[in-house]
Amino acid sequence: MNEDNIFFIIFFVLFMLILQILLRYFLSHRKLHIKKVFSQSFKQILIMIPILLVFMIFFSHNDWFSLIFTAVMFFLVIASFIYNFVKKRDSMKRYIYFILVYIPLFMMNFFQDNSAVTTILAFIPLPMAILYFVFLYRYPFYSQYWVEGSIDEILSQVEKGCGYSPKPITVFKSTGKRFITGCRGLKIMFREEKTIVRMSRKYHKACGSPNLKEFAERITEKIIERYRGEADE
Amino acid sequence: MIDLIKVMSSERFFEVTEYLKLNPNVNASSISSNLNIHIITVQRYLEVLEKYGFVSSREKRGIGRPSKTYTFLGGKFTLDIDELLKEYSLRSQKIREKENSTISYNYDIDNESIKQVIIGGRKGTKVELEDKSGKFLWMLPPPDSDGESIEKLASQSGMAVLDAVKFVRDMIEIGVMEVCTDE
Repeated sequence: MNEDNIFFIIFFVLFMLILQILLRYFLSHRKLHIKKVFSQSFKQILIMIPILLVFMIFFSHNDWFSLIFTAVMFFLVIASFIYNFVKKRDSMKRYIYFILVYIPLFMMNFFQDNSAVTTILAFIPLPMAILYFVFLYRYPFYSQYWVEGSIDEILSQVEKGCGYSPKPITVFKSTGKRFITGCRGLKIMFREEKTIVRMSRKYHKACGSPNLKEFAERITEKIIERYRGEADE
Repeated sequence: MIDLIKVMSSERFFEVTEYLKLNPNVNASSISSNLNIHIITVQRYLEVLEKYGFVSSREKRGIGRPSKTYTFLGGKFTLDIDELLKEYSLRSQKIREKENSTISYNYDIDNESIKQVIIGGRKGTKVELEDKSGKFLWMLPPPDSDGESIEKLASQSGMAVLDAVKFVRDMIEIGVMEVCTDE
């Protein structure tokens, strides 16, 4: 590995750290405590550094592996979007931005010898990514950071030290929408007449073992209030 | 007793019982094909008859999977209407899920139904659930909640109340559910 690669890694890591902090803080509508934002961003970067090093060492000597790896990741992500759409769990609307960011990045693998084309392809995702972040800011219930911040608020209001259930909890409330949201350890599926909330055991413990029924009802209400425009920031 | 009363409400039950009386040592498959009754229905009748001691069974080992053959014994049962009413009165009891780290589930999130209750980890005992029981268990409130009445859950899942009471008893026995007590 030469000096250029090392500088690239340092620059990339710093850039990603700042981006992570800004994204988490603003996409959560400042619900996430700044201390938590820094802590989560640092942890993510610490995981990213060795992975990035491995990629740079391994893939720089073998273009085919890079292409295959990117192709597999691309198709797995697209397949999961299509699966959720076919199963009527979610609409494709918010995934369009995601796909439009991935496609140019994936296409770069085929034009590695043409720097003009790869430069153009590298810049195309930028406006799409910005549009996607604007979309997430405008509709924060799609953002895992806003959901996490809302959870922090709800946890201060619900009973703790309660039992865990490995099955999903159904909240019967007219929602009028169909989409999936959540964060790591929590999945919330909105259906027109109800919501289905599923929390992992690990996340339940990390949250102080909240009363699941109460928690599911409150998070549902919070999200409904937000997309009906009834709630303040 | 509820299960016996339920199967006796069907005339086909008596067709199967009469056939068995006239043809001892016969298996479910041949009863099904001779009477043109679905084999699942025949097996259900035979299970209930065996449970109350009206038939005996024997496992026949041969080539392939062992099959069970049945012989009619006859007998009578006492219908205790007080006991039945006592069961029925449980419908207003509130139940909820019991916290049990040895229990996990296989569920179908799109159909909103529990397919299996798994007791004792991945290699533990698996209890298969029918569609209505699966929906009943899906809607069961979580631990430490206020609970929901058996009657309401039965109505939401399309189960008959007495079937729901029996199901709840079975689930309480294996540690999946508990009755809510006033705290």
